[in-house]
Amino acid sequence: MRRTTLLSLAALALVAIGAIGFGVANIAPLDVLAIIGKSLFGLPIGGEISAGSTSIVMEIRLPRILAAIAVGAALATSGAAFQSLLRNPLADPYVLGTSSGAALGAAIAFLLPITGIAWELGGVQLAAFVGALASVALVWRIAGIGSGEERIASVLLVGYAVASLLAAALSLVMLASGANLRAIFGFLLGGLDGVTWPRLAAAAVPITLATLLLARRGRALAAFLLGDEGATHLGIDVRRERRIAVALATLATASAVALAGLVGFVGLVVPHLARLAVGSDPRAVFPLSAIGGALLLLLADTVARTIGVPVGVITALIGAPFLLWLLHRARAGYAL
Amino acid sequence: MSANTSPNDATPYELLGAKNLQVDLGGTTILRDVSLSIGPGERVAIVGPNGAGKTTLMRALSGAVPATSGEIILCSEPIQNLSRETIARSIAVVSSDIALPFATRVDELVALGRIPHGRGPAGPSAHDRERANAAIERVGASHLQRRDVRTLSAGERQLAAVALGLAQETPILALDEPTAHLDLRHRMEIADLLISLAGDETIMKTKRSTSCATDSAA
Repeated sequence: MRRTTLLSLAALALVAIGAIGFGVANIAPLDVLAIIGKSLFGLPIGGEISAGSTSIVMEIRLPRILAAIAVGAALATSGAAFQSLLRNPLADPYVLGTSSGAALGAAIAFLLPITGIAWELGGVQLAAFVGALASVALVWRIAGIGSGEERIASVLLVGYAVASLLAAALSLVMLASGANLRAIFGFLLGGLDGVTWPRLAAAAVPITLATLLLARRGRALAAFLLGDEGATHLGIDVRRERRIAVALATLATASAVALAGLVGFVGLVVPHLARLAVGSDPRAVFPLSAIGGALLLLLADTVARTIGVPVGVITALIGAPFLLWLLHRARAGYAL
Repeated sequence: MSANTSPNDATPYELLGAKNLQVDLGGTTILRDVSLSIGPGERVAIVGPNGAGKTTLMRALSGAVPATSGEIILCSEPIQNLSRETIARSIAVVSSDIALPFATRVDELVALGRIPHGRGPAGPSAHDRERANAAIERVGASHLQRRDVRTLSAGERQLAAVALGLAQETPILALDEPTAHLDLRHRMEIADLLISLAGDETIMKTKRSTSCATDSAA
């Protein structure tokens, strides 16, 4: 298990360096290392690198690649958390309405006359973040998460109902949006174009914090495999742990959605892949999901920016057939 | 945990006890005036028809539902003074139907029994795996170790459930209807297993039928 995690971490690092160099202006991996070493740590290496290459790496590609890593890790980890919490293999990070809330928030922000500095600082991202949190708060409230009275099926149903309601509201806003329709549509497809250092930092800090804290709750989430009653008998305070895990997974998801829009399938598929490799214990699934999600989104985004389509389209193109293949294997003997 | 006196003391040491226990759930009284006392090494069967409150009694005795009135003593300590973790290190409660949402190997399932003994975010340690495998061996299920729990037969799943309880390494092992859904032969096998477990655990189990209570309560 530890070996799998270390190997995949090494793979992620290699792919990241390759991806930074890859693009219209190709930069050799060693030069990429030299540029990063020089710019971030002041190392006296790589004397013959042009200012243009440095600016491409440091201002455009590095923040974008780090964003792909952060968003992929956040989505896959919270997907794994929601699947464990709700004991449902079909749960994904958006199961409590995060995606619809974020989309509605972003759509409203596109319509508001905010310009200039607020826009630069990420008005849309902030609105998406608030929308995501608001929808989960609503589901939390109605389904009574953490009250001890909640039923998992009803949490899923309430999540679905709230998401449908918000989706209807989103349709209305899109109808009324006129010229902004394309921008809203772009957000719905998900993408990492135009990620800047400040926006990356604003999302990456809560994502890192939430995923690390979530990983620390792995023991409780492992006990959830046996259901509420079973977890109680293993010494877990079920209500408290469920509240904490939902809050952390929501924070990670909302931050990821704010930065990258609605990127689908990463949070659903990657945890299942991780389980294939290391079994169902969340303590093993979390780190591998985080790395796998980062790797998948990084690869998908590299393809996306090469052929010029939103990354969400690529993840759906890879993810949907892959899910079908997993289900096919399930029929052939392997069960999710 | 404060007291852990030897079972050979002059006065019999009470491992698990209830005095005038009453439990109300949703306005209905499920248990009324239940008193019992169980000592180390005892094998106890709680027998009653469906709806008699066997499962509720077991849940109350393990602190999963609060007592409305009366008193529960676990390891010489009133249960309300014990943390959930301490309770989980004192009494292992195993349900008869384990339903897992994901493919899980038997040894992975049984390793979950080590959770009350764990600390920090790391998964089961080498020692935990060793203890889990020892528990699987004690129930004679080593050949099932790497099988997906969800593909096991009802009888095999019961073995895995008992191993899960044993891996928790508690002085008390409580099994809720461990022979439910089993045919007579497998029921006898589980009963024999529970009698023959060569440990110091106090074993408490619930069952519906009275037909072979004397056999398996031993």
